[in-house]
Amino acid sequence: MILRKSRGRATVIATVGALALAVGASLMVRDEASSQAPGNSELKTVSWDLLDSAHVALSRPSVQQGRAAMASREGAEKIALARNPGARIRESALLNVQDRFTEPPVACLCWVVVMESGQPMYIHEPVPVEGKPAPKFMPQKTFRIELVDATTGTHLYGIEGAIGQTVSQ
Amino acid sequence: MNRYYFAISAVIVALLLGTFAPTSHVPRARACNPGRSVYDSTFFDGWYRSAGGITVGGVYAKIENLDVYVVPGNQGTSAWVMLTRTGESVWAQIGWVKKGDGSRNTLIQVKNSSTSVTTRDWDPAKPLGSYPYYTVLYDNTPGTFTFQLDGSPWPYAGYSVAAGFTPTEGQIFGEIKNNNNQMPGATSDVLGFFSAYTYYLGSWHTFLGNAYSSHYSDFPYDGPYSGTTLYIWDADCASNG
Repeated sequence: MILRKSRGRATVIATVGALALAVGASLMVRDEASSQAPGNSELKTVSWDLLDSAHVALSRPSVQQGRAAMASREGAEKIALARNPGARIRESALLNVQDRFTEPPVACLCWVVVMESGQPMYIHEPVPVEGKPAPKFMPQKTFRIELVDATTGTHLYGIEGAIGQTVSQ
Repeated sequence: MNRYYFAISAVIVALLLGTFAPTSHVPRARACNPGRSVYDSTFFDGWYRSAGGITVGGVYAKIENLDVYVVPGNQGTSAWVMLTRTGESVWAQIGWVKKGDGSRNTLIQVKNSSTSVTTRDWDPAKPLGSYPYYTVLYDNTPGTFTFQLDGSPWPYAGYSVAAGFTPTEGQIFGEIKNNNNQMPGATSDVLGFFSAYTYYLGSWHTFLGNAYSSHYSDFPYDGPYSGTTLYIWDADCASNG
């Protein structure tokens, strides 16, 4: 009776373990694929299309790169919070950043800190000179991230972006 | 006797206070709440210059970094130089901004398309009371905008930003995003756009733009002087001190 009970428990444990391994492996495969494929973001809270509109490309660092990151996540988050009074952090991640906004692109292994803020993004409006207002940009989705160099711990700059529509006034 | 010692002490204290009184520069740069009604809207005060439809290759000016009042939670108040296309919704901009969360940054903002806009901002913002040069160039490196702050390229030497349009106009403005944000400057403490120049037909020219205000009685201007200087301010603020 005792033997049967323990054998049953072992079977359950083995089954659960096998299932966990299978799920883990499939997730790993999916993650590998997602780090390569356009359309998927390396950030949970900022979509790929938003990052792409701001010319920002992200990829996961190798294990070796990860070891080279001397700056801590906590330090990076502290810097990000200091630059954004009253804001909260949505997420932070150690990532390879390619800022293709510039030519040549700015590249870094950076702590990318995504800010959630009540502070709306400053977006210029065309000056209505000579009496006729130019079309106005209406943002639909916005984001704000701070880049902190993971090897030196220094803040590089903040990036904001918005996608939306330009409409006649 | 006691009275004598008290008098001596008072003199010594007065001398010490005089000696150690703060002598540091007080920037003419404190925020002033204009006290107007609070609602989000955009207002401008500054000047613009087109060159008759031909390509404009650059604009620069010295713009003072002032503190300004911004309605909490609002997009902010800014002062900047810009290249744009007359009547179109595209721009390449560099200047300073103070936001409704109290942060103050130098920023560049580019809108190359109808569907997106993006910004880079960084520390340190220039000190209050300073007059840095803000510059944006087109085609200095072919097909790109080059941004400079006090003559240094942003963010690192040699980097430029892809240009999605050919500019035909330069602009230099103060911009507020709420009716009760302070336009940079005050009646006795105006903001100057100094040493303003624009580039076309292969050389630099005095900016000599047309002044424009969204609401002149609240946001007046004075000038231009010598084609290179324009003053703006918030008429509902007596001073910035």
